[in-house]
Amino acid sequence: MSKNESVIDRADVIVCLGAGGVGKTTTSASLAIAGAMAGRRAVVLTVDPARRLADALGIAEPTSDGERRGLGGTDWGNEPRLIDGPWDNDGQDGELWAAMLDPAATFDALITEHAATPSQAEAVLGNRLYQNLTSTLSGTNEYMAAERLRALHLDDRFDLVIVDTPPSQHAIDLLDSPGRLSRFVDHRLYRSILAPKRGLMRAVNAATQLAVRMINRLIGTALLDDVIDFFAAFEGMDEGFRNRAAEVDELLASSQTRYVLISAARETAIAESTWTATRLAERDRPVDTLIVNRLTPDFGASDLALSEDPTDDDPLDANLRQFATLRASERALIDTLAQRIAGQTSAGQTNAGQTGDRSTIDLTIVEIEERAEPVADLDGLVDISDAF
Amino acid sequence: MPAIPSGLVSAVDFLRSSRILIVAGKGGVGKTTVGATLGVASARSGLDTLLIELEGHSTLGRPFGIDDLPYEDVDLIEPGEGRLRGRRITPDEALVDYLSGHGLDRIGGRLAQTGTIDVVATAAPGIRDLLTLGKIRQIEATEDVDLIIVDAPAAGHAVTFLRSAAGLSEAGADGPVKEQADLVSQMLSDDARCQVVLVSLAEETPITEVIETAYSLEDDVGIALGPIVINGLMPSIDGLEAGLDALRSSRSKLNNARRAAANYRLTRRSSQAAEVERLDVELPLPRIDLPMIFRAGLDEASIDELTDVLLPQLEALGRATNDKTPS
Repeated sequence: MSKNESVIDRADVIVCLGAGGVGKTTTSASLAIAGAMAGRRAVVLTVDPARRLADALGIAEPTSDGERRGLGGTDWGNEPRLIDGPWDNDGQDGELWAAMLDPAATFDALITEHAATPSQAEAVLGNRLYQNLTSTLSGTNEYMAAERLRALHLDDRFDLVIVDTPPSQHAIDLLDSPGRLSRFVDHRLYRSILAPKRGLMRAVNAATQLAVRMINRLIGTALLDDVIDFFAAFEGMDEGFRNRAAEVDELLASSQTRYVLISAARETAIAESTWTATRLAERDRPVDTLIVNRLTPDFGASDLALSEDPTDDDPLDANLRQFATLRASERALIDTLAQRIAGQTSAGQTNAGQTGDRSTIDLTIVEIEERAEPVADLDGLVDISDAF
Repeated sequence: MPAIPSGLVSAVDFLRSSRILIVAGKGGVGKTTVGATLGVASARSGLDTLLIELEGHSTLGRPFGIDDLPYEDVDLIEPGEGRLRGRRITPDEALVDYLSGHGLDRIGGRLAQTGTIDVVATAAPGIRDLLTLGKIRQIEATEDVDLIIVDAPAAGHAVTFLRSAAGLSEAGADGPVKEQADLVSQMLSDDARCQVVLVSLAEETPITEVIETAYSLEDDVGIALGPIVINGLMPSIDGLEAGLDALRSSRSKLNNARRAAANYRLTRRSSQAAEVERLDVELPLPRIDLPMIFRAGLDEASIDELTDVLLPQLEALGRATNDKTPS
């Protein structure tokens, strides 16, 4: 099969976006394999892989969400592992690495890095509010994925980083997460919460005071005290956090980073994909490649199957016709989505500027057919990777 | 009450066995389709039904020709014997609603706009979810509806969502939030008021996840589990295997296509059957089976087709419910 240049040749960082259940994790792993086969030193950062996929990649089970390690916890979950496969035995120098995102360990490492003293780190890491942040502040897991993506990108061992985004309500959350976390640590409400504690006489906006009283009345003093303790402990680290978030954001915005949208060919998934593509275009980070996963296979003879007399009750033909009809309706949905994305991309050309050549990219569409049996091992992933 | 087709009486018995059905499942399993189908089945059985969508830009309204459901409820199908309405609930709107209900409407919009809700949500984990559940409870308490069907967040999130009330109480919440949490906990733990209908595909990952979700809903949330819906089952075709055998080794282009398509269907059916069998062993719950629909789009015709398959199964469940009731 002759191959045109694909996203694995164009990008240094690939962000895979898609709704739940579209096969995002499997597809990201296959993209990384395609990268390794093409001679790149690829690392895939996966999030909560299915057991069989984790086994296929030889990576450990994720720690359960609420479970946290002690201070200075090890980051075994985050540490990439080298995986053997056909990319390193045919004279190529490609490598495949896989790592699993451990949001809590990543956050802990960030705190330790930015704390002025070990005791400040300890105070923040031990705070109850902090310990809940990864599960309660929306966008935190996404930000930790973006933070790891940056770290892997800076790591000399790799020249291609592929990230499978966490399952979130909106796939786009990863892109907005750096700004979101900055705003959170910077929220002026905290300034006012902390003002009396610091003994500052600075006038606090009356509406903000009202908001604080409101929160106090809504949730009670015990919970508000935790907030105050957290921000008291966090004091002084906010600037480092903000700067880091800006760096992460810069990487996500650069033309080294490409966005791959993975969709299933069903109306619900297509609706979500359309929404995601629109949000990406608005942020001037257009979809580079659309991967349509689990498309009903083309068994051949589809013209025949579609045109035959539908009253014909031969079971073999009835079967063939059902799949051909389904595939045709899937293709119609995909065409609509592809046209909308292409429209958004060409609209982006008019305001090209900071993003350099990125807004002029053409949309690549890759179709992956549904398999009768699920992908169970590395060979299956290698097989899929051929599509890229 | 006007006459309802006799078979539907038992379907009504099932649909009335609790006031709220929360439909939950992993992303991509057809949770929204199942919610809409249950809604149509309920309306067809003569019940006044309300479908509630929680996630933004979900597609619950689509089969009924509505792209985005509004916060105020709208009719989804022509009202007849029964009725089917739909609406959306979001935490921000529910918060504004809640505050205005407590004479604090001016601050509500401000809190929602400035991101202050993030502060509250971080200090009090689950407060967004609690606001949403509180709104559902308020609808249950004040509105004259026979059945409320909620399209819940995706599976892992569903547990967090439903755990929010208990979690807030444990975290030491006080004041109005504590009161709200207690009311919601009471609602969730009463099986005459609330049940979860889990949805899955007959595939490895969804089945594994649905089993985990079921146990954690029972153990951590203490909510009653209704039947589990297996969606997207590949229907059988009579004579397909015999037809495949008769092809023998004929290698014409058409016969190759026929053979590949037949093998595909048979393989999918057997791997689905193996997953369903695993589910039955690990999660002994009544099961509703829904077929794969051979159209990619989600239209009213698909929902009608599924409703025709669903209703007889609801009738069977209704009869089983009646048999269990002591006379």
